[in-house]
This record gives sequence, structure tokens and C-alpha cells, in this order.
Amino acid sequence: MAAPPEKSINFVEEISTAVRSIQELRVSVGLVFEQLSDGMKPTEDGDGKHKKFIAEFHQRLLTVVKHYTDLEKLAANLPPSLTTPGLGNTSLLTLDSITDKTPTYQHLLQAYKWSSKTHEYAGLAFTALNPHSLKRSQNFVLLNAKRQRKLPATTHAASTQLILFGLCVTLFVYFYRVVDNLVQKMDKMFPDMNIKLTRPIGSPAVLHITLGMTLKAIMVLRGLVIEWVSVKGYDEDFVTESGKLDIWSKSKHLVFQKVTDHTHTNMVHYCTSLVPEITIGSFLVVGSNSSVCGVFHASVKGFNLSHQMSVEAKQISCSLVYRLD
Amino acid sequence: MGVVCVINFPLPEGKSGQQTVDMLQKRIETLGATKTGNFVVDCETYQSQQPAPQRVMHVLHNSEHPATAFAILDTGTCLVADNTFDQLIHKLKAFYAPKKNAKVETKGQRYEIGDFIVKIGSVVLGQNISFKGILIEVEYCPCVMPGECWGLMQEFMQGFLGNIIDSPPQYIKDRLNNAVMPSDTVMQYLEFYNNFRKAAGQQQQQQQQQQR
Repeated sequence: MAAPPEKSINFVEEISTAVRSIQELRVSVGLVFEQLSDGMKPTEDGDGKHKKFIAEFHQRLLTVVKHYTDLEKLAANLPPSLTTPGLGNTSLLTLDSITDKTPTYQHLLQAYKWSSKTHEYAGLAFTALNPHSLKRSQNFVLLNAKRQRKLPATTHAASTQLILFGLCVTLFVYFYRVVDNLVQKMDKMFPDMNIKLTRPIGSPAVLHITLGMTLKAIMVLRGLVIEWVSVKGYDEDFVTESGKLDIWSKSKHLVFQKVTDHTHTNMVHYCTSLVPEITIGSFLVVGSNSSVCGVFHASVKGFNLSHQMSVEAKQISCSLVYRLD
Repeated sequence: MGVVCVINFPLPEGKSGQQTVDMLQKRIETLGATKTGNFVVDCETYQSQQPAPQRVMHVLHNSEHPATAFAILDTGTCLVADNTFDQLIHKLKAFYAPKKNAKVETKGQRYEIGDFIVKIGSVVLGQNISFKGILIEVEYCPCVMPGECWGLMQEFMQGFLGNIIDSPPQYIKDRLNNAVMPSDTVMQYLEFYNNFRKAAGQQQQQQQQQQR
């Protein structure tokens, strides 16, 4: 139903007054910030300068408050907006006769706003993070290449798929051997570090590392890329109550939780997907060094590490970085 | 369990036992520790009824290991058993009889602060429940070798006890590179209990001499 002409004229006037009021408010707020950015004028001196500045600032703030109150009054007089923006066919939901009781469409609009905001922020985050890529393997290149080339179902394509399959199997066996050899090498290289290799779920290797009587760690590898590391105390286990391998649970000790966090940082920071052996080597070097320093240097300063973490933790991470370099 | 160090906190001049305990509790709470209940470590002493060789056996209980009884001979041999051991020793009255007025007990508050557990307890001796001193137990949970974390523990203890510890107690010094066991804690307590008993015995002798 259309509104009567008089009412609609009043409505338009009220809206235009409100818009004017907003403009005034914006101008007055702008003046406040302008004064703040200009600061005190150097020509005047002493307390007089301060007093004048504060009085002027106070006056301008009062103007802002006045304009804001005016706007609030005007906004209260405005009738609620009946026209809602349309979202394609979904706008038909507004025609619901009991729309007041079930404001589905209003909720939908809010959700739409949120999702579009999320999309916008995700785009911004992608732009910001793209130069500092955290992808630690090159598999995505292969996957993307696969996606791009969809082969037609011919005998030729089938043979190509067979070749690819064969290649994958060869690579699989190759990685098996490479990881085994690497673990043997590392085990010999670090005498105070006991490394045990298991493959509980097929291809991914899981290294159980025990460092003297100091700590236990678990390292999950995908190929030669470190996927996950968890560090716990010597008196803790990586086994659930049902006897299964548990790589996710945290250590009950604060100091080892912090050490795990640092290993994660190092895991991401020192990853070279071209020569992954170096990453694992450096990783274990850090661990072994820290053991030599006595429940890791971290722990000697560990009280602070546990409780006031920030400063000490930074120092420790710096020392770790120094050692790696 | 982690590395445990038990130390005797000397009473400052002009302060009673309770005042000192309150002061220590205040200090540890100021550091940010949270109260996690009470603790008790008690020790009952039994003497063999056979004429020779005369043996003394101490049976200790620690509330940190509530299902365990620790039986320690005067030679230092320690038996870690289920707490039904008490019933067994009760039935062996003919061989091992409890010494009179020799029960020692440490009671107090238990605190947790980060990876540390701190227990501040006052020691009472005998049936008269006479106050004998203050024992403080500090445990650093993530580590099992005293040699690896002594520096850290010392630094932590200095934070609320002051400079009363320069070097590790003799018991820990002898086992710096051994993994700790629950029996090590009670052994440390027993050392202090024996000292308190000796001191109490000497006091009694002096009083008797003065009366004569």
C-alpha cells in the first residue's frame, strides 16, 4: 500500500534533515581531529596556551555532543525502513504474512552481510599472506597440474594413467628407502638421541625420539617433509588409554608446551621443500644442542619460560635461530 | 613425578612456627601460586623385638602417593609397598612393635605454580604434638634428573625463601645423575625426621639433668 502524499513529503523532509544533521556531525568531528592534529600553536606561550587549547577543544567536543543528540532525536522520529534490499528470489520471504514473528529474511540479510564481509577479509588476508607462503610441499603443483589437464577416456589416456600409477609406486618405494636411510643416519649422528621409526598408518613415517632422560618427541613425516611435532616430558607417553598412538595431546608440563610451540615455529620457518633433509637435520641439531645445555637451556631459564614466557621465550627462540644459522 | 627437594626452613628470631608458615604462604601466593589442597607425610617407627640384631623400621606415608606405604630400614633399604602393608605390620606385632612417642608428621598446604609444586608443612612430633620445625618440599615436575634442573630449582626457591640454599642437599648431591623415584622424597623427609628426633632426645636429656 502506498503512503498518503502528505506523509510521504514529511518523510522525505525528515530524511533530508537527518542527512544534514549527519553532515554537521561529521564536520564537527572533523574539526575536533583537525585541532588535535594541529596541536598547540607555538606563537602563544605558557599556561595560557594550554588553557586556550583545552577550552577550544572542550567547545568543539560540546558541539559534537550537541549534533549527536540532534541526530539521535531525528533518528527516533524516522519511521522504520520498510523497504529491504532484495536478494534475488529470497526476497520473496519478506512477503510472509507473519514476518514480524519470524524475521527470517532480516536474519538472512545479516548473514549475507557477514558472509560478504568474511569474503572480503579472506581476500585481503590472501593478498597479505601470499608473498609469505607457508606451503611446505610441492605436491600442490602436481595436483593443480592434474586438475588442469583432464584427459579424455581413450586407450592412450589409460596407458598414461598406468604410467603415472607406476611412477607413483616407484616414488613411494623410493621415499620409503630415503626416510629409512635418513633415520639410520640421524640415529648414528646423535648418540644421545634414540630415534625409532614406525609407520602406523602406512606411508607417513612417525619418528619417536627420546633425548637422554630429558624429553620425548614425536615427529610425523610426509615424505621428507615434517608434518607435525609434539614434545613431552620424559615421564609422559604418546599412547592413549586404549593403546593407540596419540600425536595430538599436549604435554601436561607448561615448559614442554612452550617447547612444542617453538618447534612448530621452527618447523614452518626452516622448511625448504627442495632439500627437506636439511630441515630434519637442523631440527634434530636444535634438539640435541638444547639437551647438551641441560634440560634445555630453555628450562634452566625455564621458570621464567613457564611463567613470564614472553621475554625469555624470545631469547630462547633467538638462540635457537642463531644455532641453526 | 619430577625432581623433589625437601629443605628445613629455620625459624627467624622472634617469630613462632605459625607466623613463619603464614609468612611463607603469603610469599608463595604473591608469586602467583594457587592452593591445591593439603598434604601429609607421616612416619611411624617400629622396633624389632628380637634381642639381636636390634633393627628399626620406619613406615612412611605420603599423601602424594596415597595408595603406597614406604618401609625403610635403618640400613637405608627401602620397600615400596601397597598401603595394606600397615595391616601386615600390625599382625607382626610380636616381631616389630611401634616405638612410643615416635610418630612424626608434616602437615600443611600444597601449592602449584606453573610446573612447580610447593608444600609448606610444619613438623609435629609425638603424642604431645610438639612443633619441631618447618619443612618445605619443592618439586619440579617436567624433569627427572636432579642434575639437569638444580640451578632452576635453586633460582625458584631463592625467589620465596631467600638465600638459605647454596648447594644441593647431600641426599640430592649423591644422586644428581639418577632418575628420581617416589622413595627419594620420603627418604629426604626421614633424614629430617631423624634429626628432629635426635634434637628432641637431647633436649629431654638436658631437661632431666637440670631437674636433678
